[in-house]
Amino acid sequence: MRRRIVVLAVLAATLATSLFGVPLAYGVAQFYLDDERGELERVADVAAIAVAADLARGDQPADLPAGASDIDLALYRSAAQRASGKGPMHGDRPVIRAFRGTVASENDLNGQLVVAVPVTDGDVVTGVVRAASNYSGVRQRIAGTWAAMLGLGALAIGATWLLARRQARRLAAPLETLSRSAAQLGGGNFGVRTAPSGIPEIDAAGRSLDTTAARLGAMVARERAFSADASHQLRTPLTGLRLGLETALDSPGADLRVAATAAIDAADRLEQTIEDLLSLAREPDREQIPLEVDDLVREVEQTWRTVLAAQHRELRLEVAPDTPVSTAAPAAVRQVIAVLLDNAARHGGGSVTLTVRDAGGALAFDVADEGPGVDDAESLPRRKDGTRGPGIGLILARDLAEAEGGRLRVSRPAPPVFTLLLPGTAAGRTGTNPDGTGQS
Amino acid sequence: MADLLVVEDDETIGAALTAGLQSHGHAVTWRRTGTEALDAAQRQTFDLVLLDLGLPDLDGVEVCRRLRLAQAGAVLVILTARSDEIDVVVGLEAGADDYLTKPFRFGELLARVRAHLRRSAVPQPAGNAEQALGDLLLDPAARRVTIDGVEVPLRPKEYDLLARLAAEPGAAVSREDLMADVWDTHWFGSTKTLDVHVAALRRKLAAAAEPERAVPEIVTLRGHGYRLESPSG
Repeated sequence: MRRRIVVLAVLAATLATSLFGVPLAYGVAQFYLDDERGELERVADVAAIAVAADLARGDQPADLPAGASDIDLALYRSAAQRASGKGPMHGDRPVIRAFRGTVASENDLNGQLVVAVPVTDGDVVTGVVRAASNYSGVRQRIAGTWAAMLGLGALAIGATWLLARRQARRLAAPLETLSRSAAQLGGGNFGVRTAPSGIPEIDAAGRSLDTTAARLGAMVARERAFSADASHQLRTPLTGLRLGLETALDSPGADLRVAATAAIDAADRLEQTIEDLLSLAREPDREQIPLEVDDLVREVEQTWRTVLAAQHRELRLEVAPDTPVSTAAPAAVRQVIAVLLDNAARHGGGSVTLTVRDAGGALAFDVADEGPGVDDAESLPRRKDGTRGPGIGLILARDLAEAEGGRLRVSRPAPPVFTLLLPGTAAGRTGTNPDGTGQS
Repeated sequence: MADLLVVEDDETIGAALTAGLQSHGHAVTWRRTGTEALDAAQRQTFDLVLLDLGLPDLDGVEVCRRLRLAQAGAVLVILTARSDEIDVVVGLEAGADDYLTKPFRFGELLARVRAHLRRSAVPQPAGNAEQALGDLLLDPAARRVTIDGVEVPLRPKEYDLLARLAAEPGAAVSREDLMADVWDTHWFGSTKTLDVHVAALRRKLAAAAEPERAVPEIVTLRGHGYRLESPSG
């Protein structure tokens, strides 16, 4: 994790520096060359002007004016022959070109930068002044600048590396803690809690982990207490029941009817104990937010009407008035319905109908289409071996439904109707038992 | 008295149910798996089926759904060890008429069987006269309900429930009265059966009726019971 962040940052910095630095380096080299060439041309021009009058008169020209020490000047009266100055005996390529009347230059001629300027009399080229300087000087200047740029670039990348390392430590440390905490939770330490890191996303994950740990811890504690309680509270009446029956069998002439009646009473007490223990063990409180059926249906309509319309299929919605209130998590319900509608869109046919209705106190969502349906009436695949056909999505949907205390069923194989049933809350249920005899 | 099918994989419970029901004069067929039960249902007509949902071979709810198809006339009572109410609803949705949660008392079971097998005590209108409620027509002689001439497929207890509510249109009928008249005066345990039958009845009426048809509506009176609202106009 840390290494990745650092490598990424350094790579990004290198790329940015290169993108910027390479064209700049090229530009700098060009600038230095142009500068040097301009200097040579200026010196050659001055010399050409100095000798122009003499040449026009046909006189032997006076000496060429001395330029800068590192510049060699030479005068050619014809391409073949050096008249004076310092340069090759025979005019080289720039000189030959200059005799055609234009300024000529060459960057790297035997290690020299050469500029040749024609000396003209009217339209006639009377001679050529050749100025040359050592190319290595320019090269050194370029190399020096490049080295400086490279140094700066390296410095920037180095600084990035240092910063990235610091930032990586800051980012990775809380994640590593989180991962350790999760591992501990996996190992059965439900007391694990994460410390805030100051990074909102990581803190959110940490809080979720804390909540999970707390919930699991409470659940396990309840289960343990239940097992301990249960074994104790059940053993005593069970012993009584067994003793009563055994003594009745053992004593000749005992009234078995009396013993059986007593045994039934004991069984009743045992049953009541089981009920009490179960209600104690049940999860005490989860946030009870009623599911907004209308919002859900509207969302479903917005998403799926267009999807089905693209296949020239219709989406029908039938929402019964006064549906039972469910406190199932909207995200889970939305997901299950999405899986059912997706299944109808992919594998089904004809128009698709979503019905929301009351199923005797439970909230029911039916998704029906007019396709061929499921050929195997053995409802939803029970285990994860059904990966072909409408498989894995429906299995997940079924698990989701069951996690919310609901059930997902095929209520008609063909044409198919899938039904999601969600438990209704007692408060919002239509037709609450006034006598409270509902079996819980 | 009546032909009963018991589908139960537990030997103790199965044997006890068979013996107990036989001693009360019923002919009992006991099957231990879903496949055997469906097989038996193909060969013989039963008056009532006691179906345990936790079967070793097939999914109990699926067996319930297929039994409903094979035995259209039988009363289907599911037995479930799961006290989760939602599983009861799932079973009733799959076509069961009633349910019992384990552990149940034998007396309770007997009372249920009696309640389901006996003819309804719904007061019949004099001379079995047909009764019209908007576009809905109730024919007590044939025990048939039609909407605009099309028959609404109702289960016997659904018909009784509608007839009971229709006997006093517009009047509130308490849950206790409905239970006593449609099922049994001495009803043990939950009246969830009533809620499920009302839900099914509402659904069937809504499904059978074209939108413009005038069909009576069953109104829930929270904490009291139900009322049949005659269609206006």
